[in-house]
Amino acid sequence: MYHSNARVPGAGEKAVSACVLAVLAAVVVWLFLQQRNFDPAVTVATMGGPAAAAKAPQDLLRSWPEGISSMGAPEAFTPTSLSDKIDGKADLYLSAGFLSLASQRLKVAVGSAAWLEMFVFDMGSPSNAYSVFSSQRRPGAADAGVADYSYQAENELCLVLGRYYVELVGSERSEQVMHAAQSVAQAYAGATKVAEHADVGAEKALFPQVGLIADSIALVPSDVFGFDGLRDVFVARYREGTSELTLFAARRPSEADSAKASRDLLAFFVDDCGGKADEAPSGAGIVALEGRFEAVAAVGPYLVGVHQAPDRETALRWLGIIRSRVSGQHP
Amino acid sequence: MRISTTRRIAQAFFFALFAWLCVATAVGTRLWQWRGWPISWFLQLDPLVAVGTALATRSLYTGLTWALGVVVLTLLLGRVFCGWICPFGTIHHFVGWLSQRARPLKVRMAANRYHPAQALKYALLALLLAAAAVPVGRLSLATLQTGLLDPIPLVSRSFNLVVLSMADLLTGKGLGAGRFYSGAGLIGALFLVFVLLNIVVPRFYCRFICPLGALLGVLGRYAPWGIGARRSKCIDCGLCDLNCAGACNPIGPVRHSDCLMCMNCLDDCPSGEPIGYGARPSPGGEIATPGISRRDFMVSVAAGLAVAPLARLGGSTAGDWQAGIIRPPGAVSEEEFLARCIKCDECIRVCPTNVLQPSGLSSDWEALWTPRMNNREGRSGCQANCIACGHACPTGAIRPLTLDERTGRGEFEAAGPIRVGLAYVDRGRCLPWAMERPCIVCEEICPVSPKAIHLDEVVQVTRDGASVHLQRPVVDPARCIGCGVCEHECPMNGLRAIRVTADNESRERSHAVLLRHENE
Amino acid sequence: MNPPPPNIGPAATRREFLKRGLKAGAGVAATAALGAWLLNRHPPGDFSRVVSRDARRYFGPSAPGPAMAIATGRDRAAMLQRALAAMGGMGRFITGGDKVLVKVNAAFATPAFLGATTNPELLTEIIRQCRAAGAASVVVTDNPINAPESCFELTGIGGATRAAGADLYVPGPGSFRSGTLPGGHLIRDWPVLDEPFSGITKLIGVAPVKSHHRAGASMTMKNWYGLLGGRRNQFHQDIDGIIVELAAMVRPTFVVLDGTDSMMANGPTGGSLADLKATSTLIVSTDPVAADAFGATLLERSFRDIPYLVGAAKQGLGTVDYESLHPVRVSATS
Repeated sequence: MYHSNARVPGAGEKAVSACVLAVLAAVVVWLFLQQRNFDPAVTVATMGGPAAAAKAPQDLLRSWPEGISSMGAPEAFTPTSLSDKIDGKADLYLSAGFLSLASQRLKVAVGSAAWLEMFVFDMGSPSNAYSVFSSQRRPGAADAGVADYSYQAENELCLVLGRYYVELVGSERSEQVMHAAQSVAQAYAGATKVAEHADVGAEKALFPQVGLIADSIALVPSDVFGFDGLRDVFVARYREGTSELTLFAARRPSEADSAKASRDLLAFFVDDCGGKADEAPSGAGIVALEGRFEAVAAVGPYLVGVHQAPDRETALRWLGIIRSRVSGQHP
Repeated sequence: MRISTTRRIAQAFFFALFAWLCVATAVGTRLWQWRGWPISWFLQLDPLVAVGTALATRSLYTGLTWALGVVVLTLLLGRVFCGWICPFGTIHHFVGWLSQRARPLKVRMAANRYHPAQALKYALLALLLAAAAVPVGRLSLATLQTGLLDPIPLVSRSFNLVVLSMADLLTGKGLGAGRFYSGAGLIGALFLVFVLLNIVVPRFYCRFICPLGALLGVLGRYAPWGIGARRSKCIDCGLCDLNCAGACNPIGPVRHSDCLMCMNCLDDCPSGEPIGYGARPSPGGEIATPGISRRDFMVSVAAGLAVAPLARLGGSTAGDWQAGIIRPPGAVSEEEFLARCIKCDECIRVCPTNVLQPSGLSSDWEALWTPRMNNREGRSGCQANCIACGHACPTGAIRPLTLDERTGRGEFEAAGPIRVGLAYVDRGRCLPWAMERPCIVCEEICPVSPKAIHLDEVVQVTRDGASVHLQRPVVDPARCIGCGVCEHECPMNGLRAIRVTADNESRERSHAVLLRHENE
Repeated sequence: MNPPPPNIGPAATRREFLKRGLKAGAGVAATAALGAWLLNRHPPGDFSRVVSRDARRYFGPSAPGPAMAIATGRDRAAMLQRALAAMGGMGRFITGGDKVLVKVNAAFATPAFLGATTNPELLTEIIRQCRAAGAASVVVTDNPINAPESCFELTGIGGATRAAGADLYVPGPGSFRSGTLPGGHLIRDWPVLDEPFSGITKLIGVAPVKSHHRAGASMTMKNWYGLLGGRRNQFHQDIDGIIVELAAMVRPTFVVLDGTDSMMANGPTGGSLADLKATSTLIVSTDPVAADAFGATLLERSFRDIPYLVGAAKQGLGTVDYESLHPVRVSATS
């Protein structure tokens, strides 16, 4: 290109040029440093690929309580693979609305050989979680005082938080392990936000206290008494003298629904189980079945009754008790 | 070293850097992929992006503080950004130089004389900024259209979507890697027109059109230093105009707001003395203000104030909202989006599945070249675990999400995953619904868990009297996130039998289909 | 060669340089300050520019007195007079200088005799009573489902308003502002009717007794649905929830429930005289929940059949046990 040679770059010009070149060099250095900090989008994308990211759960807790550390990667199970982990017990969860399981082994303390295995079951809804919690509860287990509902027995701590049912199972029965289980349970309850909590206080209050076998109130999610048309029923075991029986109660959306449920259950006992319908007071039904007696009634929107009473008189008497209790609480 | 040589080095440096960052705009960890490269740096440096979004949103997005540095540089030194940094300017400068060098001196000098039409860029600037500044009252009317002509978004769009893709087509290498961009023709044509105009007049775009150059010209009004002439030594040969990039009449009265600081005039002057760089004002006289008349300026402002309401009169952000425009996950609500998107198309370039495409003229013109999803293009719809687009966006039109927020995990569990739309099964086209043939590709491929598509089982007797067991897909709006993988995979290749529209998108409450989602 | 042109501008003096330097420096400082002020440093969350206000509209309680009056008869104006007198007179509620907003049901463009909208005779009497009690102004409004102008005219409400000397407020797009009910799940950042409320000191709700396919019944509580803007049909997915939230959002001075002819079936639009039954009752109450609970009996139902009533009572927004309010029963048949 044409340019005159008449001009010689002055000192100022040379200084400015040098400054600019220095700035360019600084830019290069800055770029070199920047490119080493991966953008979060890149980190996320290269976490083993999207499929892996979706399947591999992160540690069950973001940060473990003091002394506790994970012993390996968490495992994930779906309804089809659940039995690979818990074998025959899978049925209980599957029939209660199981969605997924994440489990992980934890070291309870530095230098200790004992470990805890943490199982987090996503049961889809708080009542499902409560039902698997209550149906596996060992009698006499102490309330562990954490999350929505919890108990501690022997070498395990079980809790319900919203729709999650969590079991912490220790490798041995020791103070150290149970203490660790407590702190993990508390940390989990604190760190996990759930949209909805189970609240079974009202239903539990339906059952009379006298004769109640401790901690036997449970929520059966499905196939109640073998009847696949009956779901979500609270049952409780009672002892009278030497015999035992079960009371049950469930809230249905309306009076019509509970009346229908009552009729359907009675029909199930008679038609499908070979029971014999017996004389019953108005509004109730009694069926003699294999030497024991079933009593069913509808009280407002509640389905109530007695299961496997030793004789008709007992069945009637307990039916009266639960009926008056329910109608007294809910006029 | 001559200052003009330094300037050329700077231009080459920044152009190479720009090209490199365009190539690197691809998700990955290799050296030539994103890693930590500041892929949007040039956009962040652009003061028109900062000023435009600040006017339209009354805030300065984090990252655009780089532009403040360029503003300060301009306040003190004039349009050095244009002459030393702008990669689009470098292209114009280079093409202009190439086409001029064989021409006679007189022709070349004439080509660089100031032309009154150079005032046009100030009018464009006024119009664009007025459209962005429309007061936000009950009805938000600001529309950011600076991206159409702002050089950095323009060259970013053109390079990323057109130039690199063409290079890839020609060389077969992995730069663009088989990606398609709808409307690339129009984008490329605009780019080509501006580049080729340099054959007629060097740096045509910079002199006549560039609104950023106009803005910088205005900002440099009180710069203490600039090009000037001591006319007592001048022999009036006119050679200073020979390579003048800005057509600013350096010998005087110099139009400081058009001077691109290329410093060529210093070298071209035969006596070496008259033209110099020093304290302003130039003894040879200066015209410090832009060459636009007050009347023309007011007309442009008025036109700009009318643009946004005109754009919205069609109801495109109201009742007739564009359900076919599915925005990227993390996009803010539409009126805010149109006040932030500078149409740089970084998001489109970085999208790993190539599902993001520039909107064309077939939909609302206001959204021209803004990103939308086209599930028929690309590799797989929108990946449910990807957050790239928001992290590439320099203005926050797409928010930089965390993976937890995108997928609705952790602290976002109650809010649920981000939904960009809702899939609808076209029962008149779907194989099991309409044609007695089994399929279920959409259900299998649905990436959320539990799946948003479940199957209605039915046994149907076909025309041959045979019984066929069909599973018919049904979409659950409580779970569908609108990712479009189903639409992409649907074997009904022409018009897909399951299609996503922007209904139920998380970013707009008024587009909700369901009152509440399961997690809320 | 031409003689060199002379210098045509002032040479750069030190003074000029400093002036420019100062101006440039000021520009730098202004840039820094402006940048700092506008800087949005935090990761962008919701950029929503809409500032949502408290949606609550409370216009009670008034001076103490009977909470409910039930009038029987066929003449709406007479029944209203008797009922108000039994409640302590209109003067208990409206005093000199009050600006009253009357929320009618003008949801449909149907004639008044079909009973789907507020009866214009009743409205006329309410306006008359307000003015007689000294109200400075009376505004009548609703956000109809069908086109506003035709709704107000065809129902006769527009004509009655003007004849009685009150103002009719016809809502337009600018009449609503984003509102949130504190503690609400549904009324969050939702457009709520705002402009006609400015300066208002008393609110009266007037609604006919109607059955409603989705909600069970449409009476004084469902009447507040007309304060919602936007695409409010969404809320039909949780109709009971929205009515309860509306009851929490609005506390009127009192409500008038018109059961002269109740729409027993095919509500809320009705469309045939056969849908109506002459239940000949008019209720005035400061407790809309109690009014609706009584209204349910006119529809031959119990409050238990209407989930929104149960829900509202549970939230303590009123009582379904209207007898506990000792309603005064008057007759306007003589």
